Amino acid sequence: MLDLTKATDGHVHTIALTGELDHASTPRLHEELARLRLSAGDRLVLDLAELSFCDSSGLTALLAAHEISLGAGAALELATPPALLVRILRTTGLTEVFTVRDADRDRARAEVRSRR
Amino acid sequence: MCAAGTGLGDSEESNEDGDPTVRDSRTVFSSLLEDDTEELYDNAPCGYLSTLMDGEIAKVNDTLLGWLGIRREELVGVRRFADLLTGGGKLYHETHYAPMLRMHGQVRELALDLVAADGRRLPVLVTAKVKTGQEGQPLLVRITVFDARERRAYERELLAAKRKAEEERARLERLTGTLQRTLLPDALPVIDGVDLAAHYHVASSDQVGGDFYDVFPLGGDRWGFFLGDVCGKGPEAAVLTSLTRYALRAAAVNDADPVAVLTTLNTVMLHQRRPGAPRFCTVIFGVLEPDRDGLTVTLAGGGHPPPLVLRRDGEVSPLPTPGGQLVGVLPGARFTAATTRLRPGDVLVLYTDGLTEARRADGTMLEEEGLAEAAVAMTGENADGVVGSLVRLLTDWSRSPSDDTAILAIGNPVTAAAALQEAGCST
Repeated sequence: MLDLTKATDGHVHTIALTGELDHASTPRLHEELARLRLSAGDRLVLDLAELSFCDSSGLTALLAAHEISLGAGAALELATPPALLVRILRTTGLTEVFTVRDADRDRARAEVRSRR
Repeated sequence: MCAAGTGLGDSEESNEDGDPTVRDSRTVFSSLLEDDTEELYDNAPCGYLSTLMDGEIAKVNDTLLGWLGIRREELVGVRRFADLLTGGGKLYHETHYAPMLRMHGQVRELALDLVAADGRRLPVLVTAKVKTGQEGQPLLVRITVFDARERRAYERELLAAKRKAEEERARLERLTGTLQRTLLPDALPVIDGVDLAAHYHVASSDQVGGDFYDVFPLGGDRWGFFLGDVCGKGPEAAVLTSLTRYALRAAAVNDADPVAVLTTLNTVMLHQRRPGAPRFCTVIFGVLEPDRDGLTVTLAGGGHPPPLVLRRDGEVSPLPTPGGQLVGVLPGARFTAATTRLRPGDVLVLYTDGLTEARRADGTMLEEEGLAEAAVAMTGENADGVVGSLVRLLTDWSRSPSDDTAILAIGNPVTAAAALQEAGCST
């Protein structure tokens, strides 16, 4: 099961992934990525906070997103990847290839702290 | 003015009985309504019969007599319902039909074969209900018999289609198995001074797995080995596995330096890539150099989980190749090498993530930490023993592993001479 939610706000394109990115569901993310119209200077954000599983097939979609962004002169960000994906990125030597942002999680934590 | 007579009561004039056309159609309609029930009973589009509680036929309609080609007087008061059935049907009647009728007062849609006078079999569906008297005492059994020839033919077609699908599936599994074997070594080579063992598990029998391994000669008492995992499953993964295996073996002939071999593989795979559909593998490639008192292993990792070194003395540690990147996607991918020396009794274990991602029913994963912990108990075993223990660990963790798994263990065997030497040292 994978839910994809798309949003475009000016130059920022966001795809939020909820569920499992595996052999069965990855083609749908590939389709969404192929449909994107990215311009130079745009930002593509893959929101991974609700991603519960990712295997090697899923990784091909993230690599495709990287390739598409690079080709268009856009910047790709992986937002709040789960620990499982962070481990995969580390094992496959891709930590430096992707820009990983945990800003939202940090902000949420900061807010929780400031309320105390 | 009117096209009256085509229907009933569709104009003012048609309400007058004086209109001859209206009278005609009404006559037809009322003759339909006055169809006498006896006539309907006899010529209904299904067979009817009634029997006494002991099965003796008391009444039967013309339809059924026509199907059977039997005259009424040959049946009524002479034969029982079971007499109309085939041998198997009679048995079924005794064991199921009659008891069900007694217990529930009815049976529904039983598939039976009647035997006609000329010996033909008539596939029918039988529904029967017991008629009871005012005190609830059973009086007789009413039976309807439906012609099921079409339906039975349809069922036969379904069965034939199912059998065909099963045959196709078996054929696919044989084909997949054959293809799978071409992607793995027939048998591991026998190497003096090296102890080898492997395990390979494909999660689904109709999909070629994406894991691979091999051990092969490089000449001059040096041996190459690799183990890896291509992304995806099925035919595309098989193509990529095939490409990877041959590229690795060919590259190693030219220059067996592990970093150089992975760099060549990366170049070959990049040449094969299709835009928008990245395909990659993660792999460890290495070289074995046995010598008089040990075994030197040099390897490079391309985005693959680090192998584990099981020392004979009980120590377990990963052999990382930090920063090594997956192969086939990034131009100029970085690979790093690592070296270790295996003394007698030490075993190096390479594996794919099917092992570390084994999940228990509650969802917890074995993971690299869990594997390293469990491996402590396996130190001191030979390569075969370690692989056996790892397979047991895998099946302990997940009863039916959902991911492909490959394991390759490379050990330096404890020879009699080494054991003697050790014994000598310790005294």
